[in-house]
Amino acid sequence: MHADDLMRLLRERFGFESFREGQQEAIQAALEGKRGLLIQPTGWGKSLVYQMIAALRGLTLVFSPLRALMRDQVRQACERYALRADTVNSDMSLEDQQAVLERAAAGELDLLYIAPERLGNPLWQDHQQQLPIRAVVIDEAHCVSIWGHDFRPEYRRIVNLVRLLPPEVPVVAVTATATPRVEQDVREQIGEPFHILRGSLMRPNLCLYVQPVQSDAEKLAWVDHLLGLLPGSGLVYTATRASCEWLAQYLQQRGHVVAHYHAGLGAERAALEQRLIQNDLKALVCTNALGMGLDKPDLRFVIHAETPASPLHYYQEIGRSGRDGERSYCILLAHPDDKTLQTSMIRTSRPPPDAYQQVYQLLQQQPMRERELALHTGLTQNSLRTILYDLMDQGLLVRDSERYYRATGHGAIDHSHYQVVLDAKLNDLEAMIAYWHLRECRMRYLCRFLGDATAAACSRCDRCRRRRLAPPDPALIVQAERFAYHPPLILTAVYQKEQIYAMGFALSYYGGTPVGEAIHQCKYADGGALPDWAIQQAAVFLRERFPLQAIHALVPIPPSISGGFVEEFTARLAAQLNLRFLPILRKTRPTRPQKDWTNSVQKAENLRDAIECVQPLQGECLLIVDDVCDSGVTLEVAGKILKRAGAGTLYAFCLARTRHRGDL
Amino acid sequence: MEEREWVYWMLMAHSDSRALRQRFRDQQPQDVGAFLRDQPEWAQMEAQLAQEALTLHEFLQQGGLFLTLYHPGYPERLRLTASIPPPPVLYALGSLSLLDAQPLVAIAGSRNASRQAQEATPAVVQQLVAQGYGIITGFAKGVDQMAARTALDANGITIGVLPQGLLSRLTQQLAREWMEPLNDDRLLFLSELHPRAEWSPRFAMMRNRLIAALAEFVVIIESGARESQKNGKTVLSGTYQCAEIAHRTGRPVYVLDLPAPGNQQLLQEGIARPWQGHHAAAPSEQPNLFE
Repeated sequence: MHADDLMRLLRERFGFESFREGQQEAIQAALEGKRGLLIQPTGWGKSLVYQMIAALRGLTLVFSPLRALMRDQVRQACERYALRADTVNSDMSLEDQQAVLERAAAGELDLLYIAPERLGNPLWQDHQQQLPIRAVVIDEAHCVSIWGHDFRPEYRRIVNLVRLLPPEVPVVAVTATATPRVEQDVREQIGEPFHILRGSLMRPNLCLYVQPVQSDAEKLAWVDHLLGLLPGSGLVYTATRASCEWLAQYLQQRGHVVAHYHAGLGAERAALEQRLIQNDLKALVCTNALGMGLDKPDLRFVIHAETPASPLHYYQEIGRSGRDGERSYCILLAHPDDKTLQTSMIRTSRPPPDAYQQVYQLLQQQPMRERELALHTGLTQNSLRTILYDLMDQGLLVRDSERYYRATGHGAIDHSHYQVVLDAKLNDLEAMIAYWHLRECRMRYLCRFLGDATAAACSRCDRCRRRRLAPPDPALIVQAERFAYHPPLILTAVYQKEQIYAMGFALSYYGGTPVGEAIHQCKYADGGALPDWAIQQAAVFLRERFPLQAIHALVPIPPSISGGFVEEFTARLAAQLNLRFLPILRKTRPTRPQKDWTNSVQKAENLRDAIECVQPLQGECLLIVDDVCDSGVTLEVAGKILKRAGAGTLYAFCLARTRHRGDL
Repeated sequence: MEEREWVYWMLMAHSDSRALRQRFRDQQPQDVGAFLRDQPEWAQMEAQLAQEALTLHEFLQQGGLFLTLYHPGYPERLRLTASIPPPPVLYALGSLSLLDAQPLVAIAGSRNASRQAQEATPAVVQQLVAQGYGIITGFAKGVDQMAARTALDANGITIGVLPQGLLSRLTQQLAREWMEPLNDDRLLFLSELHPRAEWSPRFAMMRNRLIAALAEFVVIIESGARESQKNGKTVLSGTYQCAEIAHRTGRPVYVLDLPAPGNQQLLQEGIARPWQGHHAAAPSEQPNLFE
């Protein structure tokens, strides 16, 4: 390919007058059969590189880890450059997926975006033989490396694919962030000849601040305060789904136009991103499910209500802001508990060795699907999937196109590198915590961590400028303290693509609280009915936090074995609130207490067909009441049954919630 | 060999062009990629590189093994059987060590085995396993799978040459059903077909070549007549064909003395001799390159 031809294509098709440094080189190298890794900051134009390859070569398969990311890339390719781009993913109906694959087979697509796990999908496999793929792109290539901040075992599959691709098929890997170690790992996996282009990571328009906070209430108050001060719209990151919903609710209550966003939401995520892009929202309160590929150049701020797991995560997340080059604010709230939270998330991110052994042994006896495995092992979906992908990666298991897993021999499971990776992650977390207490320039610290040794001091961060943020009014903290006392319920199950519960709260935590103690007395120490003071507290709380005027009635969860404890206090609570008491859920067979089971598949199985709704409903808004909420499965199953019976909006209320799952 | 050359081999092996495969056999190129780039069929093949890589990738992900003619594990008997052009690539599930662990005997018989055949098969197979043979079959239902099961129960090894690709649903079901012997290195599935090929009568006939080439001799348990009429159509017996191909390839063929029409026909035509419980190996029947 001549340089002149590339220039003409750039001008005529893409509407640019010149390449950025490195872009042309990257395209040429790929067309010559070299495997390339582009490490360039967001906004540099990595996608232009492979969009041009697609325009030149034909159907280009792009592997991407997240649906949100794919959607944006597709939109951008179609709208900006009139490329024919589309995606297939599990959010789409089978007919839609089929239509896209047929277009691709007919040569009517330039770019097809898929997640790596799609390669194992039966529909994909039925069509794959007809797809005239001419180039392959690995987006977010750091996901192939166990040293990366976002290692995805399913990404390993692509590496094996790339090794099979002959040089006639260009392969380009791209990422915004790869430490030198990740770079080396990607290189070893993708193979020679290899071509690397690493750009500067300095983002001179981002203003970095750190603000220490001492309590949940202070954290709430700071976010509340900052949303009032900061111009434009932005993101508020949290570390967990629970705190995401909880924080969003508080901010809404305080009058901010915000919404929550995490991986538990279904199709509505696209709509939420749109609202943010159109400045309909002040902020999206989100987990790291949002971010990659969000196409909003004028994002003005990124607040971290909780500290992320490493400087790499942090750099990626703040990197969404200020892509238009205008000044943007990146503020990290530092709470001492954040380190504990992240440490425990890192430590539990990998299931224990005996869980691996259990899964492997089962599959040596008999091939099974994921659901059967969950039932047999009691592992959570996340743990189970991690184990399955790891064992597949080690060549000990395979998954066939009918989604059965089976062992392929009797080899031993290798746990050796996990400890190394765990240590590396804990070190990365230390490097993130060190960011709290930095004396030097914050931006330079992040750039160096990521392998860019050229960065100079930014002159904009709180260290360079020696300035602090103005604190919130103490009244805001008092406000927040009242809110922080009551824990939210984590209910993310959906019915017909909508979340079953509009909202759910517990009066208090279960462990170490007076309410928790009272419940324990009644239920397990045979202490009779719930004391009046607890009913009073519940009534005050419900009046304050739930839209009682819209609620038609209170519906108790029926008991498993123990007597009518929930029905009894729900009736009293209904009377106190002057609302109807509607015990319309009934057990059709006895069930074991949910705490006897360990994963949600088992818990759901325990309740399957065991609860029925004895009365048809006509869109009534109901408040479902239970004593203690742990996994939330009981509430979710009950909610589904009520929805099926015709209920309208549902709210959930429990006397207490466990602090961590399984704390009963 | 580099994994990156495998896709070229696949393209060549499954090409529609007979002429291309003949040119490959004539030239025996070391670098298959370079060879293909010089062929008139290349433009069309180049467009299929990625999709074939995806298929091969899926096959390897599912635990499959890929062998080219140049691979040291490629079975010698297949490479050296003069009357049969060796398939350029082979696909396998299980342990390749079974290919040269023991001498192999092919067992063939009909899908709808008669009661006599059902009784005779285990006895014949047990005898052969005790004599130190591995059992190779077409792994069809009926006599084939019964022979395989008996061999495994008798602590023997067995190979199934399948009439469909190893990624097809049929094969996946087999791999689940027979997972234990596959994992214990006692069963091997072999195929020369594209991994996504579905079962067809033509493939069922084709695989007999490989069975014959890999076996030292063949024991026919029960065969239909060479040709028979069914609903006004002429039907060829697969078992009978297997015997014919083996005979043409120079493999001794034995047949059980059962009343089945094919059994008697094989004896009359001089294709097979009666099975007496053992094979008298003649040295001349071993393939010899230097003859």
